[in-house]
Amino acid sequence: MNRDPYAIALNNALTEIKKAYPDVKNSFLFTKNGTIITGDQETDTKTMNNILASFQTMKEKAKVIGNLKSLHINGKNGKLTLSNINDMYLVLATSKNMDKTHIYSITHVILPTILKTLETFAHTHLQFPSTKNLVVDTLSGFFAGDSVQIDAEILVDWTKNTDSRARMKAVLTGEQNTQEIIDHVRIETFGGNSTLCKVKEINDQTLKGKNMIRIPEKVCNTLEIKKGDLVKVKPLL
Amino acid sequence: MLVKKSETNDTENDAEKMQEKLQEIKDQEGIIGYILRSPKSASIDLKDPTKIIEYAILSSTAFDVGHDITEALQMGEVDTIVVESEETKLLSMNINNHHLSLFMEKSVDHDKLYKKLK
Repeated sequence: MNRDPYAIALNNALTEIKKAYPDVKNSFLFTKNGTIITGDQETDTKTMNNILASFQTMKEKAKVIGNLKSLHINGKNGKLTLSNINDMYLVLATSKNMDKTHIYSITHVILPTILKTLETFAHTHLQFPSTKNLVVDTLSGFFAGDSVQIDAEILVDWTKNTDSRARMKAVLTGEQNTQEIIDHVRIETFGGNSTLCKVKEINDQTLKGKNMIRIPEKVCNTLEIKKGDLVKVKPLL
Repeated sequence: MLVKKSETNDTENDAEKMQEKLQEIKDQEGIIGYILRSPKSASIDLKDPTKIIEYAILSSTAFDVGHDITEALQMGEVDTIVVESEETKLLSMNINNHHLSLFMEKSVDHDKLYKKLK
């Protein structure tokens, strides 16, 4: 099962729905691009993949009538509802006698509400990458270059945070999850100046772990700061 | 022999009754057309004849997908399959060895049509 927090939350939601509606036999969610997000304990991966493959075939052939929004199958011993919710699809297999209004509640009220809540939560967290207050050290000389230097630990920490947000974003939008490398930072002074700089790891061992940012002199001049000043630094995402 | 002839007569009667019902239904508001397949023949009546092949493929796919999914989930034989897009839907059903697919606008009450045809 997908260990992403978003997927775990949805898995919990499906579990609770099953408890509330015992007529639900199988349920799982997948993105519009065909990635399975999560499913209940009773539905094995092979079954999910088989159903997914059938759905993809149906979706392709149904283009003659438009974009596929839902598929309902009534069998002698059960029924299946596959419906589009936001950018995902919910598969719900139920007993034959499950009330239509209950199915409608799950597909049109309960799950959309949960998804909307999770989306709002995820987007809020996507907006605010961690800002660090770092002490300025100046880089001077011929080889100072244009890049600033920051502790490797800080760069790694930022990368971890963007990874989990990127995974959630990928699940929400159905887009491919591409790991972002932090190669630029925004530096803001408390005086209101700011600039964008390339960033790399601090190469001076004696300065590691001291919450410092090494900034080329010419950039310091632009920002009107000097050695020992405090600046706000955040990764560019 | 006699039994066989009787069975053949029953099948022909069913097909005739089905055709009568379909003739009534196809002129109702919102009905786009139908495809009716039996082991030995097919009957197609669509308002837009340029889409016959695509609609026939969709109809066939709906039955195949219905069979695959009901088998995967042990849901028994397929009764009906309803495929919906933004504005159109397809009702597919098995009636006495006939595969019927009815294409209609989304606003049409397909449950009512199912009861009428069954």
